Amino acid sequence: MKLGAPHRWTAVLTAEVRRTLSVRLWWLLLIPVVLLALAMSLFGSLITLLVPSATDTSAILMLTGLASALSMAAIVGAAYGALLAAGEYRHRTITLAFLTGTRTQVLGAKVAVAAVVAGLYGLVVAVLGPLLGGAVLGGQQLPSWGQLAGLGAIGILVCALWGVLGVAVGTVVPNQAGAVTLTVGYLLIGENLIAGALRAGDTSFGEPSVFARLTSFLPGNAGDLALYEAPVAAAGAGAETRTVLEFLAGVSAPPPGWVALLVLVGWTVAGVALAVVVGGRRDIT
Amino acid sequence: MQETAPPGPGRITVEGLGKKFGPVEAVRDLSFTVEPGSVTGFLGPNGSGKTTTLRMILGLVGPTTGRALIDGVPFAELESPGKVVGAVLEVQGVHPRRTARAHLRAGAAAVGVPDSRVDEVLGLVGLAAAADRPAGGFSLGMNQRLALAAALLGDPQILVLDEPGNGLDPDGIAWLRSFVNAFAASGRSVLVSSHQLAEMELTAQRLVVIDRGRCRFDGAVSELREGQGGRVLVRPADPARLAEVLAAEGITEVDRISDGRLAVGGADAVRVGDLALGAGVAVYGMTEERVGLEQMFLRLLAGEEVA
Repeated sequence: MKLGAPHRWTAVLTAEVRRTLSVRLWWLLLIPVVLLALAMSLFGSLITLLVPSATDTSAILMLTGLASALSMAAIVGAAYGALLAAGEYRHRTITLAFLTGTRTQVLGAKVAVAAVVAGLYGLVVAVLGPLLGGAVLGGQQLPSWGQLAGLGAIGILVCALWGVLGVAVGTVVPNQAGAVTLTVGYLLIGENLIAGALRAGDTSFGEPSVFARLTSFLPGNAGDLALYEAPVAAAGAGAETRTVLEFLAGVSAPPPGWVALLVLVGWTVAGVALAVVVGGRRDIT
Repeated sequence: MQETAPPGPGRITVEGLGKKFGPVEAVRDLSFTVEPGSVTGFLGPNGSGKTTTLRMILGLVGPTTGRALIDGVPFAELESPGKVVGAVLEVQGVHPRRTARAHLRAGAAAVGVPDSRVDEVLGLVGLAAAADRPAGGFSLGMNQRLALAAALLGDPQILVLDEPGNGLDPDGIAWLRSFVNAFAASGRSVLVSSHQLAEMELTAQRLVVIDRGRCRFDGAVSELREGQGGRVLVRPADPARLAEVLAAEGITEVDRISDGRLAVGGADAVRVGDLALGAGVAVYGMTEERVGLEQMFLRLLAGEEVA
């Protein structure tokens, strides 16, 4: 692993930005993200239909909807990262990239681009979701700006981290279809299966087992915990809160949101480290 | 952002290079150098390990044994690799939706040269008119030109070309040949692989011949010719008598050709003529046959195989 001079990093990053902007992948994936934001507003209008007058819970419901939309946007971000990294192998453009920059520099540039693009997906949902949802929820009691901004910031961070994790997966599994299937499949299905296995035998009463406690430390769940912290906090403290959070994120005995966020950061760092090693040694034949 | 590192001399040194892909030994104990100011032909049949060797030189494939150095350091340790080495490899892609210009602009940023260089290299390879078309619609020859344009972005000291003639039409091949010769004439180095010997004969001054991952020859093209020697085709009045005389002088590599001529190896026309005169055998005609590179190449491979 060779780091190289700082100006080489900016040169390789500029090249990566130019590569990204010259194809449409990054904005094509904005389409599902905008659809997510629209779904979020649909969620809001459903609430209005069911509960026409303002209630204490409408703000909580809106935050919950936003958190789940951000969680989905993170999956799109992860898919983007995986496509970005594995696509270079598919189109064999990785050869030219490695001839003009070190492998670590090329990976670093992809990490930066994926973090920004996936973070942008999070931003779109965080801004567009409440705007559309809020418009529909005219007569309802809305979350405060602070609550929305806080959740939005966490959402952008979670999306960015997942974009980076996607790059790590796409580097370790340099097959584009394989990398995307693995990332999205894991987040939608795989992790639930693992969590289910870990929680097998546990009841919803009493103390969860050691295995069940591990569910909070799976990367997808960790991101969700960080996101759902806001609506749960809005609902106020209480034994019910924990149950709601456990239900939403599919975990047992969740740690605080900031710990969950650190867990996701840890996974991301580990993923990138693995990508540095595996991608650095791979023979480009 | 200005990179001021002085350009190196542009020498490639391959030392005991070997590569195993699982149980398959693609390259074994390969050593040679590419000197600045020359075109070195890297010759071998398909599957002989040429591409693997070139990719090891470029740091794309990690060697199992030995090392490849560019101006004394491994490729991965070059400060600005794009300004030292330009490479056109067989499987080198462009995103089908990216235009030639966008592809090169990304390359220019990574290499660290101004965007104006993009138009220069596009003009140099004759792709200026197709600059804004997506590369997905390019022919094989156009892709080859685009890859060469990318290789030239950094105005490198060394050019590595893997089977560059593939996909080029005869005009393109002639153009490439003159380009490569001019590039080497300006004091820079070219390492070009090919399985087409005729093409090598016209460009390369030095040859590295490999077969099944092993080096068979490393030296000047003229050396290879001398090592193999030519034949003298002679039409004597009495072939049997001349063969006897030659054998008495230790020249035993004599074949009788169906048209009555003798093919004599290991002696030049002057010696054969003198011997014939001394023995009183009339000679009606004599030609020196120069062995073509292709024939030499085949002999080389066949000879080594027996050994």
